[in-house]
Amino acid sequence: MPRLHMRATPLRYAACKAAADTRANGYFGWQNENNEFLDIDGNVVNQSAPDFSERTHIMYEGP
Amino acid sequence: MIRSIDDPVSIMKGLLESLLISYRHDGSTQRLEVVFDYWKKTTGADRAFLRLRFSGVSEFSRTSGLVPDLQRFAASFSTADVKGGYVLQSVEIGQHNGIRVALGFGHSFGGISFNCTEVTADVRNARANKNGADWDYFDFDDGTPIQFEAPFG
Repeated sequence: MPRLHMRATPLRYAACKAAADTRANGYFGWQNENNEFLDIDGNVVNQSAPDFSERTHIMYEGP
Repeated sequence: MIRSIDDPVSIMKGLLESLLISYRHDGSTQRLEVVFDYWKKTTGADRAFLRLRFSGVSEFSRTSGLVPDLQRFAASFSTADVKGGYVLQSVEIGQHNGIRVALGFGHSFGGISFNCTEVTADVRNARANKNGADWDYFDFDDGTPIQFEAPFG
């Protein structure tokens, strides 16, 4: 089982601060232990892929 | 075609979460160049790249991160030299002997900080063609091949 860590993006921080009510919106990013970027399904996204940014910023909506 | 864009300071502030492609500090010329993946591509382009060029650079400093091995990247960095990558996580801009800039690339990597007298920004739009597991890039305007790791040559 690979070790994963969530990259708390500045956008996500902003979302947390703004979440005085019960919900927040923002993005988060996953990277594995090699600092490779992952998509929402945990697949490594090649940095040279033109849709790199879209696939590695996962929309968050929740409490 | 490489195009100059206005208001580089505002551009910098809007770069959070952009992929760092490279940076290079040349102490002898007091110049620093930082290249990012750029979110604002022109209509029809597959990707855009942004280059920030700082001149009159002084007091360049590499801020330590949590991973000791990454400290080997001091005056320069290329995403081609690492397995993973890093995105811009923080930008601080102030006034101190000109312009004071601190760019943070996350807890693992750390960042860089410096003073400078001037900053300019350029953008290059690109088309992408899939080549096996990788991608080939070409200038959006004239079709010149572009290296992903060095999109401004």
